Amino acid sequence: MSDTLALTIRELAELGRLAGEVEVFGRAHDFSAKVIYALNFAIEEAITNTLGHGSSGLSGGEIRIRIRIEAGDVSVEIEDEAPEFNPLLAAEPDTTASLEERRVGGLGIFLTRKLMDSMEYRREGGKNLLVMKKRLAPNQGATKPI
Amino acid sequence: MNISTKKDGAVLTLEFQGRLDGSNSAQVEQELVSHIAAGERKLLMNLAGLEYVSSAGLRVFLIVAKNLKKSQGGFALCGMNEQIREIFEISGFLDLMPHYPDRPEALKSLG
Repeated sequence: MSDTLALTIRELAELGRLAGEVEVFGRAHDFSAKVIYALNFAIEEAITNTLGHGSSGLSGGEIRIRIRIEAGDVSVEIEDEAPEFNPLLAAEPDTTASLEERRVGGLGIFLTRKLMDSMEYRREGGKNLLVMKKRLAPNQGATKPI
Repeated sequence: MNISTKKDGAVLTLEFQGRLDGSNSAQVEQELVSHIAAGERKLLMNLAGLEYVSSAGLRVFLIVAKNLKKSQGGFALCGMNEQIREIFEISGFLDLMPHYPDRPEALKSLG
């Protein structure tokens, strides 16, 4: 199996399929369950934001995802042609609020930033480009011989 | 996601099996809300079979917990695996929702 996994998704109903592919790729590269979880969570959050912010703007209606292993990190690159949306600008939820005060939204991006080690965004050529990375432990990331 | 239910006195236990994500969270919310609408006041969420929860899924738990708190009902979680527990912890939800390692203690807490 190569060090790169390319995926596309158009709607939330495909999340299960996507998770399955990430799992297969992850296991082939000795990712821990924690890393696989973080990848699935980060991807779902990004997709949800894109599909919720005007999927009518998606050219061809698809979001492109690339998972790559390089230099001891796993990186997730997510690209789409939806209207501009920079998740780094989202306000953080108040995680100390009481149950009554606690607001329902805002948690996904916050959690993604906790689960992943870095997140970068840029807008280029009419596309949202989001890159998130997570450091792999030394015993993870190598492709296992078949 | 499959949810099976069990009634012990006044407590309705909901056993989650599978993934709770953006593809099914609306249906799950609907299901939980319908139990409350049918008169259930004490809900125990057994998460032992929950493999994955996203922010969409967390939202469902928050809504139900708020609902039951407001109506002075009972709400508790049990059986979270390490990964699920970490998600609830980072979210601050462990401070908001009673949680127990296993069902018997959770049941006891809901009286």
